[in-house]
Amino acid sequence: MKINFKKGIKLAKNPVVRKLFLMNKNKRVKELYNLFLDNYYNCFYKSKCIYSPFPSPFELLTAFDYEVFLPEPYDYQLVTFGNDEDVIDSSGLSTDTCSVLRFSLGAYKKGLMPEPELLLTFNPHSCDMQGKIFTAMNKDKCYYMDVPYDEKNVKYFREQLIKLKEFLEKKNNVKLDEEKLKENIRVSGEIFDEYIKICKLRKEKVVIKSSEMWGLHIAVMSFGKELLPVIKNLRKYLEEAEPLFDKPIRLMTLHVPSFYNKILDKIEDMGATVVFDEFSLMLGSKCEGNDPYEAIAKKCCSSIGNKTIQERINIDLKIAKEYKADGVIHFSNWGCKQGNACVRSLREAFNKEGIPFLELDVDLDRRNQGEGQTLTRLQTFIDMLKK
Amino acid sequence: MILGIDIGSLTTKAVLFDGKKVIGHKVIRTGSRSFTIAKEIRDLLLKENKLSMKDINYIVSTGYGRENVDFANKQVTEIICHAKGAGFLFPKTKTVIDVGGQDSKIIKVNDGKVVDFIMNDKCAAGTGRFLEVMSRALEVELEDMGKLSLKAKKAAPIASLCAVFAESEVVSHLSKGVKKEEILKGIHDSIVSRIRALGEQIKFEREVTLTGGVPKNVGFVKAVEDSLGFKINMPKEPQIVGALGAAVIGFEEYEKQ
Repeated sequence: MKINFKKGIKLAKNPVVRKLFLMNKNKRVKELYNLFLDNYYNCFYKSKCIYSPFPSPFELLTAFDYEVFLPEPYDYQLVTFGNDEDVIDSSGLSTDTCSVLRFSLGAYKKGLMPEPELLLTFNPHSCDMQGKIFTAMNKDKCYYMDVPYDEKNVKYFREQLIKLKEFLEKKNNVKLDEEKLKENIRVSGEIFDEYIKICKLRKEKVVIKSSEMWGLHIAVMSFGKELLPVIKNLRKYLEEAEPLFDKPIRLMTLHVPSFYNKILDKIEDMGATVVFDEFSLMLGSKCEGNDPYEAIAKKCCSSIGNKTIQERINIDLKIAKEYKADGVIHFSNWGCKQGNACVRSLREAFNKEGIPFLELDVDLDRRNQGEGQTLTRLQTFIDMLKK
Repeated sequence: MILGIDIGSLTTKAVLFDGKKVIGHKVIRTGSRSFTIAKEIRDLLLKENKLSMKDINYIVSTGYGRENVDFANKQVTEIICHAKGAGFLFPKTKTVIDVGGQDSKIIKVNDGKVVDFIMNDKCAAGTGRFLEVMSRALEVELEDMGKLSLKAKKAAPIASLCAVFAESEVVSHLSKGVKKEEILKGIHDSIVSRIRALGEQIKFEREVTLTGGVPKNVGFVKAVEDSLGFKINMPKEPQIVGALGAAVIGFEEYEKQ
């Protein structure tokens, strides 16, 4: 059945369509996914919408009453509606470029994205295409920032955040309520503490499905005070919850899987589960401190997306050991140079430590991913780890 | 008696195994009959060996069509089966190069068990399908390509990017009067170049065993040896190694029962 995207979004509050939005209907994470529905609804119909990169300086943006919209996670949900090939192709871009952002541009051209008041984008360290896509969407609404390559240059990025604040004050003809910003920082820090507790739970017992965890990664990356009670409840629930699997093969994943083909659920069907997603390091560090701009700058600069290859390798190795990963899967997305360029170095580093490594080709554009080949690789890798 | 069935993209292979040696084997084209081909090859092989299903104790299926074999006791991926089969034939095997109809795999093996692997995909260059396309373009029978290529003193360069583009290159070489054997040598070098690039990611450790349908081509085998710089293990019937591995796994499972 082909669903009309616009109608789908409009009916986001409708329980039937709501089901389509949910990657997982499990009650435990229902509240979490409702936040996404509210976010999409607000972006389309209510609030001032701002497109944001990873990791989002949402603490500052929401202080100006913007609704933060992350196009990439939205693409992954929208693609499950079908008709996706038409959307991707309508971007008019080469098939060798990133399919996720091709989808973003195609969806924007077709009116399937909310109309932003501003498109905020970072330099190409973690993604060399988002800035170009945002520019193609509407160059007059773009605001570019330069995230330095390491944490030593926090001051440099802090200055840019202050300039962004001044720009938003002028644009909205309003003086920023600094207390509101500080409160946002405090809430963001509290959310991050809860998030880390949930991540660490996976060290000892697997109480959350891999696909559900991705909802949490994205929520922590973009939501403020509305998320705090939800994540607190979820953490309390998960601490008490019984393990979902009996002695599963423990995997660490690098980069982003394809969600539409339920690859994470298939991994679990094969007797394995994900205990750590490298993506959670994309969120950066906890937002804290008396200086809100420095707090946000530190968070953004510490994201793994802004690390050198060697730093990325060192961090991933440390985490894999800490979380006792039996094996590592790198999801190599078609056209993602930032993600794929260092796969060989990662493979060598993990192999040196005796940790098996699988590079799995995936893509949002389902024409670039063979179901049979994917399952054969996964099954072999997991069987290999079982022995 | 154990039956191993390997349903590949181009051919379906079956092996009868008594726990020590291969009793019989069969190879037929898969065609479009992936749902019925397993039963077809099973019945043909049993008939040839004057056996019936009552004589079969365990069946393992493998290959892309493994899930379609509803009478199998177990389904195992072809990567695991090729490692097992190569390890059975050459116990010191550390690396398996399997070049089949639609993909090529480099499998690191220890005692017949997979410890690492890497596969190509998204492109038919470096696979059996590539040779089929070239066979048609050159009007040389598939089984004659290897021998003919050995006569060449030099190779005509063929880019290894894409099977379809490579066909145009072959046509271009022919129009310039380049000898067929030189083009064939270029084709084999091109396949090996792709496999080499793939395998370097996990390193080729000796002993190396070749499996799959493509290693039946002597020109390809020579190109692999020339590229690696050492002799490689060649099974008498490289095409049935996956089915043999399935049968060996079947025997191990049967013994456990």
